[in-house]
Amino acid sequence: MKRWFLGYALMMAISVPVHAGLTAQEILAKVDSVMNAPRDRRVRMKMVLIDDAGHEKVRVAESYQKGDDHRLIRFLEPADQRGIAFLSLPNDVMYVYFPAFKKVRRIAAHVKNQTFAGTDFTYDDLSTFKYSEEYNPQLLAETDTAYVLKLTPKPGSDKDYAYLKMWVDKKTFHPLRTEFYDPSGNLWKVMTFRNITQIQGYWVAKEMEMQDLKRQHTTHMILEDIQVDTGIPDKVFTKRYLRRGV
Amino acid sequence: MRSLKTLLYVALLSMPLAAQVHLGGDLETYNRYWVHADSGRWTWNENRLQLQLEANPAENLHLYGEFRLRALGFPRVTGPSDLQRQQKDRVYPWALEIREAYADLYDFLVPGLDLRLGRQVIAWGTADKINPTSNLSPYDYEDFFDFGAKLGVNALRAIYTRDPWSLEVDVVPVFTPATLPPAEWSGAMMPLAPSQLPPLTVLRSTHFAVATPEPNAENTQVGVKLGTTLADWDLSVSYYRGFDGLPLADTIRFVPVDTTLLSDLEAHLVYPRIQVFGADLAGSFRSVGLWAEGALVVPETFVQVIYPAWQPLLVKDTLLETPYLKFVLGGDYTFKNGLYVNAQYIHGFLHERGPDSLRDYFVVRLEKRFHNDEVTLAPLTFAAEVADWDAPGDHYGYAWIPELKYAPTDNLEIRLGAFVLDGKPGTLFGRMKTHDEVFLRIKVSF
Repeated sequence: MKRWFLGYALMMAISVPVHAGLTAQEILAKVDSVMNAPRDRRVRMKMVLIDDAGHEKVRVAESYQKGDDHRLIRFLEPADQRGIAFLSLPNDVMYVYFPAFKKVRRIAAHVKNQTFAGTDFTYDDLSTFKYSEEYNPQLLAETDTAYVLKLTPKPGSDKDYAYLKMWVDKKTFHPLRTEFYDPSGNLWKVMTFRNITQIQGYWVAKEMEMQDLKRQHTTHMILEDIQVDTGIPDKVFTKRYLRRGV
Repeated sequence: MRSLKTLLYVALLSMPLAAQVHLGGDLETYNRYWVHADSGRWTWNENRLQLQLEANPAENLHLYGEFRLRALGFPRVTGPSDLQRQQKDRVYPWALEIREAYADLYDFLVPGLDLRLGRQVIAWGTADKINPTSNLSPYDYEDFFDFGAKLGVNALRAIYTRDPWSLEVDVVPVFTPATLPPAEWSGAMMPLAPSQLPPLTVLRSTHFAVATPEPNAENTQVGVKLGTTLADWDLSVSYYRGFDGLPLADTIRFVPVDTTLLSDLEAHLVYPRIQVFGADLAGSFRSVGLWAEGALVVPETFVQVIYPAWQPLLVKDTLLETPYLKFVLGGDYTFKNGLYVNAQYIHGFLHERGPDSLRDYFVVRLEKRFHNDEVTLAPLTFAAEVADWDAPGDHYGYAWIPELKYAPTDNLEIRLGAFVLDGKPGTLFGRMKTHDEVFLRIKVSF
C-alpha cells in the first residue's frame, strides 16, 4: 500500500504540476511558442465590425503567415477594398498594395498603432511578433485555469498601450483574454480568444473578438479554412507577390 | 444544326472560365461647379460605370480588364443636325475607355520571371502621385487635380525577381500621348501659343496640329529598372528612352489674313524625344516614412521656328537642349491621435520641362479619420508654388484643396471639396486663380 502510494505520488509529481513554478518569462515564452508554433499558416479571415448602434460591416481577407515574422493579408471583401494587400516583414518593414494605384507602397512604423481597414485591430496587432521580444512580463495571479500576466512594453518599443493584462490558459498556453490599457491606465481594449481547438497538433483560436471601449466598437474575427504546415513558399512574402491579383 | 452544336460546345468549354471570372467595379458621379460671382457654372458632370474583370484560369496565369463607360453630362449640340442624330451622342455624350486589358504570366520559362502583356498602367517611383521617373504610361491630365492619374499603354512588361533584386524591362511599341484638361485649364497649365506675339501682329484665330510619333521600331519606348533592398531601404535605378508625353510646337506660323495686321496662328506640335535616368528610394527613419525620387531628363535638342507674318526673317528658339533634374523629397507620419501628415517638396511639376522652367512646390496634406473611419477630413491639402526664389513674394501661387469624405456604409463613398487657387501672374496657380471650384463625388462599389 505504501509502495503504491509512493508510486502514485511520484507519478502525480511528474504529471500534474508540470507548469508549477513557471516564471512570467517562461510563461510568455510558451505563449509565443504556441502562437507561432506552425511553420506556416493560411487562413481565410472573416471580420465583422460592429458599431455602438449595432450596425455591422463585414471584411473578408486571406492571410498567409510563415514563422513569427512574415505575414501577408489580402482583402477579398468588401468590393471597395478588394485587392488591397498588406505585407509585414522583419524589422518593421511593411508594404501595402492599392490596386487603384498599381503600386506597392512602403509604409513606415508610424502606422503600427493605427486601426487596420476600419477594424479594431491595429497594423501592429495584425503584424507578427513575439510578445517576449516587445514586452516585459510580470505574473500577477494564478487561478485554477489561467495565469494572469502583466505585460509592460520594453523601453524603446513604440506601443500605444501602457500595459497589457493577459490571461493564459494553463493547459494550452494560448491566451484567453488580453486587456489593453492606455497611458492613463484606463482599460482601452479587450481581446477575447474563443473556440480554441487543436489543428494538426497546434492550438488555434478560431474566433477572436477585439472590443474598443473608447470607440465603442467591436471586431469579431472568425478564422475559416485553416491550413497549417502546407509549405507556403518564401516568394509569397515578397513585393512581387503583393502585386498579384486576387 | 452544326453551328448550334459548335456554339453549345464553346459555351460548355467556356463555362469553367466564366465561373472563375470575378466581376467588380463602381458607379460614380463627379460634379464640379465653378464658383464665380458673375459667371458661375457647372464645369464637370461625369457619370461613369467602371467594370473590372479578373480571372486566374491557371496557377500561373492571371487575366485582368478594366473598362470605363462614361456619360459626359454636357450636350454638344451646335446645330439642328446634332439634334437629329439617331445615335443621340451629341445630346448624351458618352465614351467607352479600355483602361487596361492584360494577361500576367507568372514564372514564365524560368522561376521568378513574370510577364505582363497588353494594355496596362506602368507606374514607377516611390513619391506620392508626382513621379518624375514614371514615363512609360502617360499622365491622364483630363482632370487637372487628379494628380498622378495615368493612362494604359499597350506594352510588354517583364520583371525578373531574385530577392532582394528585381530587374524590370518594359517595351512600349506604340506611343500613347497624355491627355489634356479642358481648354481653360490646359491654357494655364501649358500655353501652346507664344506668350508674346511678334510685332505688327493681331491674332484672329489659332489652329494647332499635333503629330504623334510614327509607330515604327525606331520610336519604340523602352524602360529598364533595377531594384533592391539594402539595410531595409528600397532602392532602384531606372532608364527610359522615348518621348515626353506632352507636345511642343516645333513650327509656329503667323499667316496674314488680309492687308491689315490680322493673322491666323498655325502651330505644328510634336513630342520631344527624351531619355530619363532615374533613381528612387523609400524607407523609414525611426517611425517616419521617407522617400526620394529623382530623374535626370536628357532631351534631344528641340528648336522652335516661328514665321512672323510681316517679317522676312524667321525666328529660331532652342526650347530644349540642356539636361535637367526633376525630383521629389517626401515623408509622412501619423501622430498618436490619428492625425496623418504627408509632405513633399517637388522640384519640377509633371508638365514642366527645361532647366529654366522648373519650379518649386511644397505640398502638405493633413488627414484625420473620425467615427470608425466613416468620416475622413482633410482640411489642409495645400500646394504652394515658388516660381522665382529671388523675389518669392512676387512669384508665388497656391492651391488649397479641402475635402470631406463620408463612407456611411461599405462600398459607398461621398466626397465634398473645393479647389481654391490664387497666386501672382505667371505662376501655375496664379494663371488658374479664376477657376475656384467646388466638387461632389459619389461612388458606389460592387
